[in-house]
Amino acid sequence: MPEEVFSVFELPPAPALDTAALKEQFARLSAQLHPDKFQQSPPEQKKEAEARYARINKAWQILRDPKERLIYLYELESGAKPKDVQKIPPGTMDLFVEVGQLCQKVDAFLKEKAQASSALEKASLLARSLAQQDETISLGNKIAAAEQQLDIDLVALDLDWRNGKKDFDMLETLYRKYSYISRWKQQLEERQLALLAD
Amino acid sequence: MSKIVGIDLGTTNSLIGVMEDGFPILLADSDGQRLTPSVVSFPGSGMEPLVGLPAKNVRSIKPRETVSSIKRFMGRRGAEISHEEAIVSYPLKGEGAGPVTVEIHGRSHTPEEISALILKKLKRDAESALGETVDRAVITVPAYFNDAQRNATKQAGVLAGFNVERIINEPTAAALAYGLDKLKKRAKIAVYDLGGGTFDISVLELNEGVFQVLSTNGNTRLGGDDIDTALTDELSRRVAVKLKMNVDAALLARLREEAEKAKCKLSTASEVTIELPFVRDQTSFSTTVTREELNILSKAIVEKTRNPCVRSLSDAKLKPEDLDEVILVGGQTRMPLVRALVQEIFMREPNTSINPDEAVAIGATIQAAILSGGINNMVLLDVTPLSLGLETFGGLMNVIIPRNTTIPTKAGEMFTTAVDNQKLMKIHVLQGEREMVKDNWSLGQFDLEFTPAPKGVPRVGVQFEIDADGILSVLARDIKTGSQKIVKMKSAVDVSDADVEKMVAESVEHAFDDIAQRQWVEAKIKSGTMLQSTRKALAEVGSRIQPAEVTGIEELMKAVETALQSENLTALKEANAALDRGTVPLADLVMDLALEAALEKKGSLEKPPTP
Repeated sequence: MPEEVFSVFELPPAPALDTAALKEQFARLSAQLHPDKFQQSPPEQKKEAEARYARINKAWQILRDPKERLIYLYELESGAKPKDVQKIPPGTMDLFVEVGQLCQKVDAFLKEKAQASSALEKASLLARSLAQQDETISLGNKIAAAEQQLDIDLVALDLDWRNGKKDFDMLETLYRKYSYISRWKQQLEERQLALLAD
Repeated sequence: MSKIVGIDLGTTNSLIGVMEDGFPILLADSDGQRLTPSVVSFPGSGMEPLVGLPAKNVRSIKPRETVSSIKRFMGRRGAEISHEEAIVSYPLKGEGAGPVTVEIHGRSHTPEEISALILKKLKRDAESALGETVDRAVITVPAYFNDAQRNATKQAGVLAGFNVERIINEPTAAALAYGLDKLKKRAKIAVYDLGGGTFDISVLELNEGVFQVLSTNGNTRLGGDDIDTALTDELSRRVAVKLKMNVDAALLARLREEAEKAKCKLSTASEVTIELPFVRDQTSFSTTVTREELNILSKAIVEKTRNPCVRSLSDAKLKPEDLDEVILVGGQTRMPLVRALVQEIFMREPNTSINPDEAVAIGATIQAAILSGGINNMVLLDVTPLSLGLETFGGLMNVIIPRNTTIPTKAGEMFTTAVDNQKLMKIHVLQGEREMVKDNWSLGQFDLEFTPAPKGVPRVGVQFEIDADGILSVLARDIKTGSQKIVKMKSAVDVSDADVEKMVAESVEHAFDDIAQRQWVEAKIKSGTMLQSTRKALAEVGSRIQPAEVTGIEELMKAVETALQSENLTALKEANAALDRGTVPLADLVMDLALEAALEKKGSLEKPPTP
């Protein structure tokens, strides 16, 4: 694996971190080491600056996102990625199905909506659009609540981890849950905005 | 080495600037003008083209030889150009995956070549003003420009004789101009940039000299030109009705010129009178346009900027209240309707302290100084606006670099073979946010080569890098041998069946007959759907409106049916428009009832949560 990512920000490898402090550090490092500051330097220095900043940027992208951070930590500390089994973590099946069904329903409606051009046609679709917007909002709230719970679980895992008790199964489970949640949020957001659009 | 200049290559106007004694200065041409209209006119084959104001001055007299807003066609493929977009005063041509070209005096001009003429003029002006050679430049692009559009802009710069040191995003440039005197401060700002042809919204955090873009969104086919078109169409309609005549291309060009001027005036005046002498023989035409009327025509266009704003805030994980300022950029933001919308979305008065026409060029000049070392207490962290992905099974796009990733950035993917002795694998690269390949923009494809071996054994690593210009380069490395090569992307040549839905694979040669026929079919379909929905609405809520209104609507429906029989396009379009206008009260009633019912059912509607 390439250079250790936590060390770029001088952080101990652990599941949780202070994201605000991380962003601050990234801004400071960027102010000093961004390639733009080396635009007029001799070619070797320029190349080195670009490579160095690429590492900093990569580390920032991995550490700021919980799911990226967790999978990275897993591989770092266990030596391998988790098995690529399509494991749906316990407790997420219901949401999985709900999101899939709602997305299908909204997509079918959006297709209909795309055909409407006159004021009256659009108005006639409003009632259903509002109902579906409602549904995406409630489901979005459910997912947000699930994510909040995940954040709590992450802090608990982190505490044990820093005390030497490294639960790799839980790390993997949280990673998968964050992954699914991220995907679902994206899917719902897209449809929410499409429904709001004229 | 020459100084690095900053250039705003705008849809409507272009500007050039340079750093002098620590201040960004915009350079004027020999007429003392800092703004150069992005207009080029070709007087005849073999003759020098006119660029800037001289070209703009002949535009209404020689519409077929004068090119404006060419930026709209930079980096676009023929098949992408919609029917409406192709309606310009000059002859446009393009089909399939080939570029769009402008055909004038027997020569084919690409958008890059025309943009290069504008850039050449700016280069000359700068060299005159500075008394030295200028061949290094920073050039701006809309933040939402994709890879091909950025490459086209870079190419235009090269054709003009520049070494293009950087391609920089317009709203980010404006943020640099805004923040130049606020380097000790911290602030979260949004930049709302509505120009002639493009719209961008960027959310940035200013952090003691570090300008970090958190998110960016936009629409590269939305701008002041669309409002000009809407107003021109309205004026055209008035002329046709009042003088009972057809509006030909020459008159349309004159009307467009008047529409542009009127639109600008209506930002400060509440009404404006348009006079066109000698429209036909000795007949003159005169009409008054009020700000209200302009607002009605523009509302739908301006509303389209709302969605990108909401998305951008959402991606930045911020609510409107979290921002310190909203900065307005681009000439079109002078319009009161636009300012009202911005105020509504961002829940504050927009900041109009920077010059909306000049801020982008000033910002480009600042970035030029950062690159040349003239400024060392500012740094810009921009992002890629569109997700980059690869096609996978089932026509899905797999994202490898998500949108709003700070650039420069790299991502690697490992590939191996699926069958024994497989020699090639086609990799299809895309940009966009949709799940399906067919809904995204195809950057191109390349062939990955494998040395013959059992399946699963070869390992080729592909590195995708988005550089500081926001442009993609691809490197493929054979893990075993260590040999690596730069991958050249081929523009997706074949429009596969799956893509037909999205891409219109027909040539868009500007032939009057073709357009009329197509418009008839579209109008006929529209009549069908409108009649159907009107009948349904009358059946459901007709009892709630006045009988006189019902009769009125029924008469409008009859008029549409009659026009369908007549096969007269103008009549049908008029009848459709009249039915649409005439059913607005009915539409309002349907909407009100829907809202009431929804409110009753759920108690109250919450606003969607911003994550």
